[in-house]
Amino acid sequence: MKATLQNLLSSLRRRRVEYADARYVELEDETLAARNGTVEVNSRGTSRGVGVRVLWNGSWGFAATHDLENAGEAADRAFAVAQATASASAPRARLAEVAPARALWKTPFQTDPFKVPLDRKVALLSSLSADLKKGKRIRSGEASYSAYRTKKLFASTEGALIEQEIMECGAGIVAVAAGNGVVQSRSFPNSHRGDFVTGGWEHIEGMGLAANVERVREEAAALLDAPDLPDGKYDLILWGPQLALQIHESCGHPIELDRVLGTEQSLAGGSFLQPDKLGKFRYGSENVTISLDGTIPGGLGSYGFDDEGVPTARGPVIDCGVFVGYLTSRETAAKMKLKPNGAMRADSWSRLPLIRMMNISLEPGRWDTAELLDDSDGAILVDVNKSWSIDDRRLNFQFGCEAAWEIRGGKKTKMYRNPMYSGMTPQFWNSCDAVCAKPHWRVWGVPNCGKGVPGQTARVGHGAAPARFRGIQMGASR
Amino acid sequence: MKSEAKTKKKPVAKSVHAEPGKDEVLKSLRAALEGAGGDAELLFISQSLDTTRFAANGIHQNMSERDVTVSARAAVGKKLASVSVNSLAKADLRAALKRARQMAAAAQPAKEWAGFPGPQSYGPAPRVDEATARQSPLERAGALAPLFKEAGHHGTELHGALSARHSRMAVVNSEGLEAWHEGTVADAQLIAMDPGGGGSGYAADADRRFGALDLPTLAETAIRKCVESRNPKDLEPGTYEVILEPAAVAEIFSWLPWIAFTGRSVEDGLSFLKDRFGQRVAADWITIYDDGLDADGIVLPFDFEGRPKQTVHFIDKGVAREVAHDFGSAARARTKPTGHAPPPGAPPTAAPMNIFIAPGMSCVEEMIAQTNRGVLVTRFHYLNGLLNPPIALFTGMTRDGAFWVEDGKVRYPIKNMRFTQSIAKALHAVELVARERVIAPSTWSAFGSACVPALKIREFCFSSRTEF
Repeated sequence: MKATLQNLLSSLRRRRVEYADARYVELEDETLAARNGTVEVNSRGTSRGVGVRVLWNGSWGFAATHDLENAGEAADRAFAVAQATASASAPRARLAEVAPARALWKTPFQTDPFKVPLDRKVALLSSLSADLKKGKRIRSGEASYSAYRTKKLFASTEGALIEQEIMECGAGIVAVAAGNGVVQSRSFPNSHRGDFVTGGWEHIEGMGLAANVERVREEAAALLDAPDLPDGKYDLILWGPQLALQIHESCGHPIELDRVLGTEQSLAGGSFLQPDKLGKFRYGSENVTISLDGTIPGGLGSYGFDDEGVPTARGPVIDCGVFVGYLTSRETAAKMKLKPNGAMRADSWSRLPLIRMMNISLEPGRWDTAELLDDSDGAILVDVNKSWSIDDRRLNFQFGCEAAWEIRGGKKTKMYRNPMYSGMTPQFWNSCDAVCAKPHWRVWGVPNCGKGVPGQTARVGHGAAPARFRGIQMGASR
Repeated sequence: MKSEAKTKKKPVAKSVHAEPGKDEVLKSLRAALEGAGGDAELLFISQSLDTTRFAANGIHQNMSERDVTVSARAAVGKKLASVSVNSLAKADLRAALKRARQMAAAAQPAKEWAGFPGPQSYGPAPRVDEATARQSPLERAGALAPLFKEAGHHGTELHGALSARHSRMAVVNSEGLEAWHEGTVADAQLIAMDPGGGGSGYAADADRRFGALDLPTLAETAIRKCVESRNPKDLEPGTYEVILEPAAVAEIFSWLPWIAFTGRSVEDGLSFLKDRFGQRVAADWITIYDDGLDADGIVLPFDFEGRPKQTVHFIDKGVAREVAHDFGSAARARTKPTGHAPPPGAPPTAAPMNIFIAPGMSCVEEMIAQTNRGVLVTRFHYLNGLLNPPIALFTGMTRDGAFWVEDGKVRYPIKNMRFTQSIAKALHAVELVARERVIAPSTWSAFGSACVPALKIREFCFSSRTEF
């Protein structure tokens, strides 16, 4: 395909485009899902094609085709689309300078999940889901697994030539209990399909799924009899996966510079983190340091280069509470006189790259989790997300979670069902007075981040250790 | 289009559409299937999607994609598996079928499986609108340029997307079933915003014909809403009357069918219709149904395994009636599939994608006139229906124009509010249903849409507010 991409870029050079890039992508996926002992979803897929992006007269055009024998047609179409863009007096795009890379990058992994025998996967998932169902009031036990292999070849008129192979996989279990008109669920290690990494089958084997079946089904059943969390203000302890989603929605999205500059209004909305806040806005307390880092081994947002050939980066976003960094593309970086940090990714050959999160992480603090619980008498600990919602500038949020516990004497005591909490982003992060230390920190994978028109789904990561927030409005979703 | 004469001299940027036609596609699928032997099905979906996105009165993303996907599903006894490829080449289809058969052999039997359906007959579908199928990016640019100018005259900026989609779908299986459908959808979403914040307004429409979209009127509506929503005031959270314009209703009904109107959601106790069939679950004037053949929406005559779409009345004049079934939930409920099979690889639950609320006799103006103290909502943002599914507890934010209504008149714009409300309860409290309906294409499926009117609801809980 290298020759094909080079040929179509040559044809675009002859038309005096300012810039063009071409991506050949092969996507491979596998999903299995079992319920009550039977595998219900058993599917694989492949998709390959070429996407061409053209900048002509300061205007963008993008075209994609599955027809590899006529990939040049996509280049013609992208050029024509760019001409059409220019006809409507579009703003002139300019790209920040980047040294053209010639590189090869692969996700390190031990065992290719696609090569693990299917009957082994079927046995694992059916066994997990059957064991989950064994509880008395359990209506369903579910277990699922997915893997994705993405091979990319990127070339640009500037001379970049980059090959990447990214391997991602993950799994999860959920028990759904029902009784007396109440339905409650518990998931492990996370809801919404579980936890995902860049890596191989070794991740699935190391997740401890079987070891958590009994606890998950017992907690699901216990939630049927648990009271609703009374409305009020509480000190809130966010455990790993819910804190990951909190970071995702209230920090990861608002630092996307395309949203900030208003180019994602039509679906995702904007951001309260406007450019006048960069370097001086107190986003959170001094305990809050958040970083972007596409290099974390195993992080779901780890890769070598983005889809405009920029190497992934590490850098600060929130430094001891102060907002200091955006996720950028070459175009938005040029507008703000910033350095591109390799955040432009597309979910397919057929879609245009957008600014997407890599791994956006709350850096570890100094607390031990036992010490935090000891110091939090009367606080409410919530675990695993159930619902999520935030306004179109990423200020007013509300999250529902699977379960909550009152902390007494350094331990989780009374369990509550249907917990939800809400707040405004800066006030919330400014109320953070404790973050647990490195031994309790890990990266969570979020495999379903939506953005763009037409819609795209990104897989991103968030490092987090349990943290405490003071005086948060909580209640029950009833 | 107004800009046609002007664009004739510009460089040609016509959509290229060289995909194989119906006969060639069906022939390829049939040949691959016959060569493979055994019980199997091939589902073909092709899409030509052209999308022009704009922001601040300029085009910033302009895209044209062409793809085909063929999903091969094999049955070995009652064991199932599917393999998809994005190719129509004979070798690729045969390899996919072979792989699917191997995977099915390693799977477990789906006890409800009764085999692939045989030949079916389908209801009528509108003809493809060739002008939409072959629409060029120059046409979209030409249509948008005057709207940008108009927005600028009002000190506002237009953001949004304008797209034209030509989709084709075919199902062929080893029982002799052969189904073909193609359709077009043109979709316009316009947001008018003040530069740097301030007012914000929204208008949207969709139609199978690009030419039927009244873009100047949509822009006028969005710009008017933007101007009227400037300098919003705070409103105390609380329970108020509410008027939901169609875009807001459509947001709710992009979630509700999946949570409440499928056989599996009833089995799992997640649907508020569970144990209430034949009982009143909504106001008398609420009728909600799924109809793949209603040309007021986006037509899809058959599901992803080729079964004819049946009209399924979830709620008929306020009474719970039925839900959508795939083969699995139908067998467990001892009924028949309703033509709502999900696509291969998706969770095995019915896919109600063509949602309608029956029109009423009212209009937004009458709703406002009959409101004592309430909120007029243009649309919602980031709605979520997973808070507490058995009572259909939803949350979300208002967006692009929320207004305080008092004593029958719109008084002033308000800052955006979060609602947290049981939709099951709200359906009981619907007082008025508008006559006019708007189509909102699904953001989850190329073949889905909600065709819904504005609703006036007696009580709706706004639980908090935001800063703008």
